[in-house]
Amino acid sequence: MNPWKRKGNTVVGDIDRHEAAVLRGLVSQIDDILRARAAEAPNDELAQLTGIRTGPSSAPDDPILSRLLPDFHRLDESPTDAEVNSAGALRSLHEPALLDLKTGVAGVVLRTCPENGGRIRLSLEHADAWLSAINDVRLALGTALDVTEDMPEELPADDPRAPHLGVYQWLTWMQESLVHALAGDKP
Amino acid sequence: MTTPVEQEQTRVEPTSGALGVDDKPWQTIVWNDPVNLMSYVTYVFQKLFGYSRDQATKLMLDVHHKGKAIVSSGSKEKVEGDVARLHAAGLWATMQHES
Repeated sequence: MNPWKRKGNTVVGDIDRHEAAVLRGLVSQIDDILRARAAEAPNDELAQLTGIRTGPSSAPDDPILSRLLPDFHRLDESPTDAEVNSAGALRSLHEPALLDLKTGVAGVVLRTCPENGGRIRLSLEHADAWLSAINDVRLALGTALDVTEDMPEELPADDPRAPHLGVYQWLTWMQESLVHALAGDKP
Repeated sequence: MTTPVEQEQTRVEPTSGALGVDDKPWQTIVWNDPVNLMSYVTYVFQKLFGYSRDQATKLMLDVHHKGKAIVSSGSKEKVEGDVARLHAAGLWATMQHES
């Protein structure tokens, strides 16, 4: 893939068949775990009657989902009871919409990234959706690989994370390129 | 936050004064994390809050170097909405009542 280029209100990129398969596969996986979480939401009579959806009040156990769906208060640094209660209420209130937005941007990538590779043409709105969706994949991979700020470019060959780090770094490059194209920076 | 090694660091002139967020009851905090890109965080701050490139870059660098930054403030409802939008963008954000 070459750097993304902005032409007026369109952002253009070319992706090869293998890259498209990797990207689509990862975005689909994120979409799947988000939809599974959404399916767990309580569906009580009041919600059906009012149309106001409520999500779960506690964070997911899975560290990847938990990173994608953060709490509204810091609960890892001796929170007060009020903060714990407030975080639960705010999650319950906001999580359904957040899940919709995240599956929405994943859907944009799956609809606009050609399965066999080729040219990608994105409106600015769709380019923003790509940024969010790529970021979600990087958050998930970064959590799974336990990425740190001083992580070396390459891991020792016997590190089980080594093969996956290359994909993470490719997505980092692609996201960086897309930010610069959208911001109108010179490449 | 992270940045590709080959990228040149943007040089930012120090801006004077705060962003006028001192007298509001609720604050939106963005925390540093090892995945979000410096360029992306700056872009998100500009897009969501309408900050200038310089203001957004200064806040991003505060997150990067100090571990966190207050990026907006106001009523509980406003800050709640700001945190929700930051979560949608993938940033690690929380809200707190000014003590």
